[in-house]
Amino acid sequence: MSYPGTMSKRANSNGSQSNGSQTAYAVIDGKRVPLDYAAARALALNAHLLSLGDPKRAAEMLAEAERAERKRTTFA
Amino acid sequence: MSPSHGAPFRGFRDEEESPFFRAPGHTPEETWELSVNRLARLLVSLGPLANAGPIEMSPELLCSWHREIFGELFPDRAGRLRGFRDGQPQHVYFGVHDRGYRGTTPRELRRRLDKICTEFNTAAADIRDPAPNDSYDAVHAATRLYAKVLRAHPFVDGNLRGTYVALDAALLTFGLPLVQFNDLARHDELLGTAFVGRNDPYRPLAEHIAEIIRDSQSA
Repeated sequence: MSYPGTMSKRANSNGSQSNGSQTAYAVIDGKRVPLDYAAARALALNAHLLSLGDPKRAAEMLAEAERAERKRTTFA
Repeated sequence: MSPSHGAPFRGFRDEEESPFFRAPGHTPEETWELSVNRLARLLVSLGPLANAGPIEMSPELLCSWHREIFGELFPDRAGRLRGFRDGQPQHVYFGVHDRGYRGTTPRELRRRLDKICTEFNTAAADIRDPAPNDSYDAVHAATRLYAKVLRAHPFVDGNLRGTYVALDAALLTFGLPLVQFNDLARHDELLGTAFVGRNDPYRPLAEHIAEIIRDSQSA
């Protein structure tokens, strides 16, 4: 199984790595995006939710936060 | 509205019984928010680190990442492997997918992490070799590192968050993207399999991560 285009840093034929600076990517909501602070925050939040070890509670917290955010946005 | 990729949401907090529930001088929500921000900054810094050369895993590096995330909030505990307090071993108990586990005993912890890191570094060197290798080998090596460190549970708290950095760094060092686990329950189920399964128990989680990468599209 291989994924064309995913290996952004490949070994040269002599075994050395390319010296070019490569952009790091993240997969957020199924899409590949450059690893900027917004993407990293999404990953960091995801890791925190995973760390609860309780997917049901994490989902409830997300739903509650979404409701609060909608309310805040509506009445802002 | 995607809570995973936008403005921060308010009201998130850790489990109340968690040692890292509330940092001194902060509310539980502030504690959560600050550690999210610290982790995000750390993840951004992994890109330049991977560009500088192959990332060699070590217990010291794992501790440094944990310290980066939690050092300002919990300076006494961040970045420190579990050890002995008042002569008593600091055991840690945790649950994954409805099963309970005890982390590696403090007496064995350092040796266990050395072994896990050496195994990853050896596999990574082979994968980087000019001989043909497909990306699945890289994902599998990163997954083994992730699951094994999590099973050892080196710290009193913040283990998944710290070890998630190791997973991402491992993926990056192979030129692969960092991954988000949208299906939290699936992640836990596959991690549980990695902990107790037989005959390459890491494969299901590795295949899940490989699928996330393979199915991703450019935004």
